[in-house]
Amino acid sequence: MELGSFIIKRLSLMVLVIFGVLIIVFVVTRIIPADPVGAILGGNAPPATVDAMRHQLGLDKSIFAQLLDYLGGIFRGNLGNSLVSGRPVMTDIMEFLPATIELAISSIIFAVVLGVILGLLSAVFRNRFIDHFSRVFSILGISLPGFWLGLIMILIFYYRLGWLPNGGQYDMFLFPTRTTGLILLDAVIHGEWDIFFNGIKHLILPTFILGYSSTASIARIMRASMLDVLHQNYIRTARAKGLPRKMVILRHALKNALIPVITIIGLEFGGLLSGAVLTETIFSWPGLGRYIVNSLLTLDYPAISGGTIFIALIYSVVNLAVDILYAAVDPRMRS
Amino acid sequence: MKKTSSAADSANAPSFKRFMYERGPMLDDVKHSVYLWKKTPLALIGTVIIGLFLLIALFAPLLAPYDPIATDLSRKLEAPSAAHPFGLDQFGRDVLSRVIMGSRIEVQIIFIISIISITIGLVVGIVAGYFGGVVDEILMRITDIFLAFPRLVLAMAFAAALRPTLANAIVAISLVEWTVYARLARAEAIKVRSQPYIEAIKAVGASDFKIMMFHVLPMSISPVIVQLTMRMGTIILTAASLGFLGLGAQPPLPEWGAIVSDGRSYLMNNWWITAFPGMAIAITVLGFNLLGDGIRDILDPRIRR
Amino acid sequence: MQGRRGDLLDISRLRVVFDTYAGQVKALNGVELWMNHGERLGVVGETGCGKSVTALSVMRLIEEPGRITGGSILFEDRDLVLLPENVLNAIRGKDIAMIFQEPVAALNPVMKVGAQIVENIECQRKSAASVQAVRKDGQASRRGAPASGNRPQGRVGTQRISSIQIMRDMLGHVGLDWQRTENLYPHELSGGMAQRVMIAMALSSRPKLLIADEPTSALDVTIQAQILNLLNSLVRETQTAVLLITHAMGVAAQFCDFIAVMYAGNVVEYGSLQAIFNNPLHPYTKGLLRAVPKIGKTDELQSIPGIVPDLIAPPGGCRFHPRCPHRRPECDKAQPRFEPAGGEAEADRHHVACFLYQRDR
Repeated sequence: MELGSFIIKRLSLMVLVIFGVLIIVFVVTRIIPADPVGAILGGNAPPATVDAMRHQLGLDKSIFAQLLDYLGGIFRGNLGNSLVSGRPVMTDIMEFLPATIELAISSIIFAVVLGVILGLLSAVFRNRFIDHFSRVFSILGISLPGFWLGLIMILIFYYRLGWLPNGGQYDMFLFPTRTTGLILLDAVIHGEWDIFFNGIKHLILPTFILGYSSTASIARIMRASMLDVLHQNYIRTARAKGLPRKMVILRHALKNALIPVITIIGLEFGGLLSGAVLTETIFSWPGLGRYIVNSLLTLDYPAISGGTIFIALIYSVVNLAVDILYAAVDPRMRS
Repeated sequence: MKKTSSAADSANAPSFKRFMYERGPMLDDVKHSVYLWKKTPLALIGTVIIGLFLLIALFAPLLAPYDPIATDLSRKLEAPSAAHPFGLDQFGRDVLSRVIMGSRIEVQIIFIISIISITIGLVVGIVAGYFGGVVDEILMRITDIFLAFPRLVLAMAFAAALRPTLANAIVAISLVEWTVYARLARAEAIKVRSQPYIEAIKAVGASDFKIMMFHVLPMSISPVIVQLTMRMGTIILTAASLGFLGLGAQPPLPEWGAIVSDGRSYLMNNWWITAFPGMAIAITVLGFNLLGDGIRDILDPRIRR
Repeated sequence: MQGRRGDLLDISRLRVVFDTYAGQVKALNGVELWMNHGERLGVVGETGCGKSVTALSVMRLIEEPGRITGGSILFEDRDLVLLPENVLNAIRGKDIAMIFQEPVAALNPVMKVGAQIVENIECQRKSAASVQAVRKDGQASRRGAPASGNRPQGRVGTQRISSIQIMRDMLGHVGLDWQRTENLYPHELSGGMAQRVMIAMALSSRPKLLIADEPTSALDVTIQAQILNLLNSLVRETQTAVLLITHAMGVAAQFCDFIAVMYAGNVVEYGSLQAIFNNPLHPYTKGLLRAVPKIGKTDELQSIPGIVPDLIAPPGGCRFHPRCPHRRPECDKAQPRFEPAGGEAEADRHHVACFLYQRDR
């Protein structure tokens, strides 16, 4: 089918799924928890205060009324107010989102570039040193717990060597001008180069930790895919045409080998969002992940539901984009 | 209508003997797999690691030199020594003993998660694949909805909603894991239901339930088990992550992720609290991943001969 | 040292092995065959006899774990076994071209077929240009770069356009409508169409030798005939020699001037079409010809008893001897020499490797 109708079909599916997501989050944050009011006020609050709070949170209405309120609110972009900060959850999210985007983008770029290169070299120079190194590197990448490795790296690079900072997006005494909220981008826009390089220093460890397991997965899939492609008939045809080895690999093999890799990039991105939670916690990165963890630990239900919905939305959009990209790249998928 | 004894009748009343006979070729397949497994170094190393892990978990109370929960504040934060190879933590507890007992907790975790997630996954997948149509659509949409969340985030949300305890963390992870097995089981169910012999036994009155139990289920189990083994590493990491974040095992349970988190405040000078349990996690997960890789290679039709 | 037997291609004592987990497969055991310009040689034999391996060896397309372990492949005056890779690359696709058995699988699935043909054309042009450059400047120019820097901008543009034009002409020659075909992807083509595309691609550089490895085996019988006829007319036009690999005697008979019969890694008999069909000498050849069912006859089909040998541990001496009805004591001791069979015209080039016909020296 045409690429266009493919996109429409997937989009409508996504909308349906998002709706389901909203329902689940509602169930998880309203119905399952025992007593949100008690969590906020503590066990010894006088009944009048408890009732007032109930009313304020809308918890005295029927479940369906609550559901309708909730859905209505979401469509208007109102995710409720955080129980911890008192501000609208949406405002909180918008404040923390750029930091996560910055980390996610830098990690995915790192993972894809390094992963593809390692996988490619691994396959082309099979069973030589680079292959063994890459395979060990990869299997460690999916085995070592990210949160632990991050702490060990902080131990080595901060406490023992002092080369890299142990957290935050930039040093405390710097005041970057914010336009987009993406520190590096803003620094470039405003020409604040000291902030730029400082930001990069702070980005190194979190990017590596967050991206490591994705690098490993991508490298493994790339290697397997490349080995598979190199045995295909059309590679033999390309060589029979007299094309130089490098061109055969880069022009014919690579494009075909990347196809399975693209599919897992979407999966990896989801893993990245999950991993961001841990990485941001360890490196005190002021992003959405850390926000969600804090909300979970303080049982800030509006924040939990808002944050979770937001993340699910991002994830779905990215998956959709990846599916479309996949169909665009592999013409066989469209028929 | 008078019932006559026939082959179809026997097909409807499975006996163990007939079951095993019909699966002769499958058994040969299994034997060949075992042979290949013995020849694959990665799979063997992985199996050894896992074996050690299970043994340690089994004999943990005997192996742990000290009581993992007993505190001794006078000796807190002692560095690793001959008597305490992994050092002491901030409450004076022996880290080595805690790590050893922690292996028990890990085994329990993965065992229960496996059972719950496989059960839900098989049920949903087989029903969806077998009945098809509206049932399939609905179940698959539900699966999609669960899959719309990054896994850890959803597990975290469930764990928090249910109040953070180890049991709830296990339930939370199971609620996220089942989707993988559901998809596999559904694919198998679709394959089996379109086989001609299914039509045949339906024609002589086999009920849907019986078909799903005795024909679809056996076929679905093996890919699911294989996938489970390959996902075991991820499951352990997820459980440890929840423990690390404080959403899983609560103190003083010596769950590995929780111990790593404990050590975080003391990282600069007392690194052993964080380092050793983390290594335990890494090695165990590595073992499962090596085995999983080995299994994948063994099952690869290009390598099988 | 014997004189060159064929002025286009002369394969002599070619040995190829494959190292596998189960052992070393001795795929080619001293293959001998040759051809002159413009001729058509058919290599026939059962599956696994080594005919495809022979074809791939000519262009040194044998990959790990296989390798050429002995012999020579003379193409005009150069030994292809010894040539360095970059020189060989200049010959591949240009002087020698190849088409394969499953045409759809042999094309890059993510590239439009027109583009794939154009790629071939451009590649030949570049290597022609760089060869020219080597001769002109006396020093090697960068691979693929135009010879000298004084090539006017416009020239490059017109060069690309005429590559596309050549591609379209070729598609026309093979009976396809370029407007409909050039933007298709391989999976959108039928087997016959895809093979025509491959032929267009292979012949676009007017090669001296076309190697066709079972080009019609994956196609329907009616399409087979079409493709063979197409090949027939095209190579006659361009005077291209054809090395046709096939397991179907009928196809070889229809198309070729000379036949080489292979069994388990050796050419056991070689000669003109008439010589082989009218006077088959080797017991295997006789068995093959006898096995072809004849229209009108309703007798039991005659097969050759036994099975193809395991090439990891092949039978000693003549590899056919376990199945041979004329087996003699010397057959398992040594390999029979590949010699001219006496008593026929020179032009028939009838050679056979069998102790029945060995002339004692």
